[in-house]
Amino acid sequence: MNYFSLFSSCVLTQGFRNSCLVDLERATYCSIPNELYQIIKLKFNIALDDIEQGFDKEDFQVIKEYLSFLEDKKFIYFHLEKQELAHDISKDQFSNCHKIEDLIFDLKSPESFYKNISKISADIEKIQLRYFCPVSITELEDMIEILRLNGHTNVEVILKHHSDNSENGYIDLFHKYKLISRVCVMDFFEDKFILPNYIIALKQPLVSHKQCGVISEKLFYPNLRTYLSSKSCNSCLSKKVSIDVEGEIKNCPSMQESFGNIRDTSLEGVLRQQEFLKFWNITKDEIEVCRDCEFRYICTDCRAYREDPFNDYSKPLKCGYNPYTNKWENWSESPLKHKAIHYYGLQDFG
Amino acid sequence: MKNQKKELINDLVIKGILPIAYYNSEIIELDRDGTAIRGSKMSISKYKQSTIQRAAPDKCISKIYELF
Ligand code: SF4
Repeated sequence: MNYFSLFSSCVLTQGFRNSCLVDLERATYCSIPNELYQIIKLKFNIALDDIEQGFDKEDFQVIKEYLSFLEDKKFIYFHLEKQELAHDISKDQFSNCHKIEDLIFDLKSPESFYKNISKISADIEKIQLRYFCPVSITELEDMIEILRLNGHTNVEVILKHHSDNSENGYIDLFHKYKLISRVCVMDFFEDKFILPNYIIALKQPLVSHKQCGVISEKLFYPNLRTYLSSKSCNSCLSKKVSIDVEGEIKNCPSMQESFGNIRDTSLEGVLRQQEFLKFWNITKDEIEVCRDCEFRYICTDCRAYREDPFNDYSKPLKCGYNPYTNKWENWSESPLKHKAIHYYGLQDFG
Repeated sequence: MKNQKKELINDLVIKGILPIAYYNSEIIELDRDGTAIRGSKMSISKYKQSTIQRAAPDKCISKIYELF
């Protein structure tokens, strides 16, 4: 008898019309029609004979072609005997020991870094520094050195390119400090990877926090962490704290509500405010439209800009995907979003 | 007792028998000309983050830029 199974690192998510098959280990995915989802949803030890009996010849031929496509792409494998059930990764739970997983620290000058850095504890998984000003490599190095001395181990930097900086300068700094996990240089001359996967240069200017919240296939992270955390908590805001350019502590710099200023408010105190935690547990399964989307566990979320600003559970405004038609469109051109775009003042950020 | 143990381990590190010392402890570094410098491990460049694994960029923290 012929059987097939999904590789155990593969998971399936059913959407309204299509489903998404993801290999969390290889960080790759493909969309499949829901008819095929019904056939492979058992994941392990699926007998070809059983499928053949349920369909006419022509349909079975099409199914076989689909299966050989999935075999080619290494999502499934065939076997002659039933195998012991593999571990079903989709039932695992995500857990993380840090009280804060991400801290976004927005800066309009290096001075604001020095003024406030002592108030940020080291028990944060990752700090993301976003400099809305050009920063030289020397200035950057001084700040990274302070983070190192404070015991931080994971720092991501997004900055405006400074005309004194060279590509090699960025590379040397990256190699010197293992705590830097990624650098994104904006306002650069061209789009390129200065160091593949780690140092990204973009022509796109860095102007304002209002640029944030874009949902795009290019920003999907189809890995185990995204998948498991999206199922159990909010994939953008859970365990996230942000300090905006004015020092206001918020869930995200793009949000309105402030929970105090870093000048006189401790991050620990903010974490004790129930209101601050209200978005942390909103999962994609609860968000309108996203709950019908096949990408809901590999995409991220945005609660700062919503299609309906008065509904906490509304779809992210900057997502142009429609799971009911399976088409991507430019979000800023959709007439249905114009009201919200005006409400948030995003007319220039499409 | 704890400090004595630390000292002992640091001694082994200095002799090159053990690969690392306590992260925050004082250790001795021999300069090129043979001068011994005593300092915190954090501030001696060759020990900087020698035991830290670089974290993988496995998460999209802000969606402020679009990749090409
Ligand atoms: S509809 Fe929701 S889940 Fe789907 S791509 Fe857009 S934001 Fe992500």
